[in-house]
Amino acid sequence: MTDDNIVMHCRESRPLIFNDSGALSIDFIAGFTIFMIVFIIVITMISGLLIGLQSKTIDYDAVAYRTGVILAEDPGLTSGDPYNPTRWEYYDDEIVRFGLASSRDYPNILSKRKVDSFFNQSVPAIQQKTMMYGDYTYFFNITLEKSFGSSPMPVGDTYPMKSGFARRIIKIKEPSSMYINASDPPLAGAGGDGSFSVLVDASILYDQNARTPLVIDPYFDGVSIHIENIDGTLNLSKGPIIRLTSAEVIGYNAEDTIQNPYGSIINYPWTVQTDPGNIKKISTTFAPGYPAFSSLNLSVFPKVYIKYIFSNSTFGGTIVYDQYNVTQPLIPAVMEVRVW
Amino acid sequence: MVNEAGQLYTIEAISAGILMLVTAYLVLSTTNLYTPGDRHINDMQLKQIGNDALAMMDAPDTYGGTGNLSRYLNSIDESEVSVAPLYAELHNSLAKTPGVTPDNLKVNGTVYWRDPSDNSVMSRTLEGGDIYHRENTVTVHRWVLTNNSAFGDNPTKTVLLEVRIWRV
Repeated sequence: MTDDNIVMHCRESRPLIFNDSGALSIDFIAGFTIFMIVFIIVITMISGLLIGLQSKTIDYDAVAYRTGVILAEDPGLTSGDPYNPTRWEYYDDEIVRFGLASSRDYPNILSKRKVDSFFNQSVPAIQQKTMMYGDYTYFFNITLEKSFGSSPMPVGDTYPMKSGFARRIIKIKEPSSMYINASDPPLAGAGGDGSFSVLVDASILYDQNARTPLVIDPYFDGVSIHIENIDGTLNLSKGPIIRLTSAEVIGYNAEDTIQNPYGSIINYPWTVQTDPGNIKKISTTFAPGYPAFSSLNLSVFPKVYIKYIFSNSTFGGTIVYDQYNVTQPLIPAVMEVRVW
Repeated sequence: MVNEAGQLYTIEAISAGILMLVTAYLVLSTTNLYTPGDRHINDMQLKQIGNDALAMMDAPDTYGGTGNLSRYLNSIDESEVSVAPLYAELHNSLAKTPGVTPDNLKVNGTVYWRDPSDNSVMSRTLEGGDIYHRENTVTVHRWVLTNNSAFGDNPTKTVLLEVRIWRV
């Protein structure tokens, strides 16, 4: 490097501050202002930008999961009956919470009557309030499908492709029913006088030690008794060989000392009837709500005998209406919950 | 120093700033980001369905009866009889439509039990399951009551059934 170059360099360089007035240049002020405005706008918009990062499907999946749990694992709640608070299916206007389970102890085992009541419910607003919860108004579709080929039972609107989803594998407990073969003991060969009884014993049905999902509830689920293969012709009032002369319900206290007759059941609404296609069979159906099975009556008269008297027969004996002698089919099904 | 050149720079700065702002806003607000955290939702749903399936297979249909899960495990013998019915019912239970087996779900089961003689944990893979390579799986468990001597000498014991479920 020569001296000429050094001199030339010094001469061409200019001082950094060439204006000593102290005033800022308009370029700097404008640029700084724009920067600050943009900076402030960006900072204030960041929170709004992050909303887009929150996936909505997460929220809907969570709500669908919650709804599925409520329906499949909870028996529901009603304010209509303080003694049986889970039996909301009989109190349409006082449903606090939907829940289809037959008992809190046995998740995924659903009650047939609750399922029927829920899927026949035609008031979506009530369902929404007592099932979905939260301030946000969710749309939902709940579908129950029992088996391949059976028509699904839907509740709610048609769901879009993007919706929160939960599926539960469940079993539906049908109400209990008893099938008695009249050509088998104890009816056949009893050598009796034609008097045959079915015993509904509250001390057996409500035994707290017998922990099973297959609980029999005669009052809320009803009772049905089918006597089949009755030899000969059967008629309610008259018949050449065997005829049913009376059918009545009698309550007894635990010691069998006091009896309380509830009357004949041949008349409506708790009826005994012959099967028109097969007159060798009689069916007795107690719809839910039969007074003898109410908790109040059962607390005084825990043993309820349904007594049939046949003429021209040697029927006799007693069959206990308990879990061993009745059938309560568990129907496998799938419940899908969609929320959007 | 104010001249035309300075005003031009300002206009460029304004337009560039607005352009950057609009671009950043559009990019961030329109992109549907699939965060890795979402993955557990699918896994959770699969696990839930698996647990439900095992619970329902274990629920006896009659009072005092045996659940299907116990029945299947009881039927296994030392000669490696296939537990095809167990897998068939599991597949059926996992099906979206009841009775229609999904082809994108694979299952594979293992039974664990304790050998009281030396207090070791024994295991046995149930024949007939799908072959597991390295897929992302969920695992569900169920304690099952069985009287099968293939799972130790005690007449009645509880074994741990572990089922792997994965999507392909």
